[in-house]
Amino acid sequence: MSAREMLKKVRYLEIRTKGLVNNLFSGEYHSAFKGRGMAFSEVRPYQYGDDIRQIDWNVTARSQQPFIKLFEEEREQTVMIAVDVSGSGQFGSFDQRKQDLNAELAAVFAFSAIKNNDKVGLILFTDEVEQVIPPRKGRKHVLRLIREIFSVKPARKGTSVREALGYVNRMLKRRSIVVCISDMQDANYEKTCKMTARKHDLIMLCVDDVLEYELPNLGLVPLKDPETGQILMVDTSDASVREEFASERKKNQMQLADFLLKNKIDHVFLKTNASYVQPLSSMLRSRVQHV
Amino acid sequence: MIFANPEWLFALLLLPVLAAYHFRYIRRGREGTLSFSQVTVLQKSGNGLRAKLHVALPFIQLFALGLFIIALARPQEENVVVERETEGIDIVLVIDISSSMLAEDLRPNRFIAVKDVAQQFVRRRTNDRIGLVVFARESLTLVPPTLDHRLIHNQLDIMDIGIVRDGTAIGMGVATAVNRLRDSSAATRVIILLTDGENNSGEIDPVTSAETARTMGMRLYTIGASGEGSAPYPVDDPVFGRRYFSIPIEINEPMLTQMAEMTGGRYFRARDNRELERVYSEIDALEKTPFTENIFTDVQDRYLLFLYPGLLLFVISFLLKQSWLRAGIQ
Repeated sequence: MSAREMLKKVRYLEIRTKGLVNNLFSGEYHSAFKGRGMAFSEVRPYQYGDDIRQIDWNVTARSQQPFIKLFEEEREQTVMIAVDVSGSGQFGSFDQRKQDLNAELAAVFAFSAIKNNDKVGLILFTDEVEQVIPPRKGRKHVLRLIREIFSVKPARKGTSVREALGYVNRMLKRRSIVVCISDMQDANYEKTCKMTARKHDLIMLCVDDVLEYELPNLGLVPLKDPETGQILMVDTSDASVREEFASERKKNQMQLADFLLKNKIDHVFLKTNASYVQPLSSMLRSRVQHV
Repeated sequence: MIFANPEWLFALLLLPVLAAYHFRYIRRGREGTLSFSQVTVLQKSGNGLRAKLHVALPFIQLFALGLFIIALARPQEENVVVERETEGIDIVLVIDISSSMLAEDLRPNRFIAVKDVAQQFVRRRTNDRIGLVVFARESLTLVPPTLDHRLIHNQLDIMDIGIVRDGTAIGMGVATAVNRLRDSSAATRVIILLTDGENNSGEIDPVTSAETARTMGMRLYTIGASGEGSAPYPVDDPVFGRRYFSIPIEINEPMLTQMAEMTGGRYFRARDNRELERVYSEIDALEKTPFTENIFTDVQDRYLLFLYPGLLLFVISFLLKQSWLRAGIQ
């Protein structure tokens, strides 16, 4: 991919996500990720409609006019986006690969973050951490992040969510927002995942392709796993093979969903052929309710 | 199973090499593969019978190739057929068990000597059917002609004087033997008559019985078992114990000779144990069964046993690969 193409792609992604970030997600993001403490901002005269509980009695008594004391929540949070760039991301049945959806989701979160004056960092991981970009502010920084997602040439192919989240745990001392975008083709991540969820605001975005749930009938085909390189001849015309596969996959997903629910980790299951707007915003809204 | 061109078997060493090569070929995915990210799940949930067969196909072909190589080595079956032509002859021993057989001119007496020698004779004639007929005043078949020589040994052991009424009916003995051999299909049928006296009872004249033997095509050997002059004969007296009387030897040699010669046999005279033994071995020598032993080494090529299944497997796997087990996106 040449630099020009890459820029075009990043630009396109920026425009594509802009509307979403500015309109749909702006409020939701803001309220979903509240800061921790409240910092004093100003004292101003009471106006009709203000909450009377905000009236500061000391200042009011001194000036004989009602004043209210305003606090501002502590913004400037850190958003760490961990993106899975393993081999399985190359898969995608409709016009989008999983990797493309990963990039788009990362872009949405990154733009939303800088819009809310948050710092954004990026971790690209396979079965080890491939690349880390420390959190910073600014649109330029976000554009760089997106460019990195597109241009990364991972040295390895597997997936290890544990590695990525473990790295995040070690790296971020303060409570931050951690967005993990992966297809979760992994095991043994539960413990680290729980730890991250306790320490930070963890959001899991599980990206899948529809064909990863329903095998199409293609006849007898050799399938190659992009992560392990293993080649398996599969009779996709055999209905029982397809059913077995579907039920196995469903079972795996149920297990994952169970685990995430039980540990109260916010998560969204996304598919490459469906819009992510609706599921994302409903997740953010549900966060507002239980925060 | 032997191989006419065993050097071809070294080609079998190629098979593991080919299998290894094939494995690498598959692993590298030269045939073109689809990328699919859930192969591990598929492996767990099963990839279908057809897929498994498809994977097995190249190995079936390798197996067929192995069969071809074995066929090239020309497996042969060597069948050694030993054809032994034993012209089994039928022999009936006709033994006199009249009381005069107790005379002790042969040691320990005639009867026991004859028993022993007959045992030896039977032992030597392994391929012949042997029967046993005894006679005194009447005649009795103890054993019809049989290959079960143990039975004859047993019967010779337990046979004793006095199981039939005393007397000497040579004609009856021979006639019974002739009767026994009548239905036999053996090419040579021999009667060996052993007696120590003169014919003095029975409904059939000895010469007449020899006549029937001749018409039936049997050979009759006659043995006169007795010394010369007189023989000591034991008598158990309840008062004085065992005493010996001298009894005269009455043996109708001309008649026995006539009987033997009528049928193409011979008459022998056994005056003591040694002579008796000689007589039997002479008869044994005379009745040597001619036997031919033909050894055929029958070499048959068995390569078809390998070629046909190999060909079949090869064709089947080829057809399957093109039809039912055809891989690729349809």
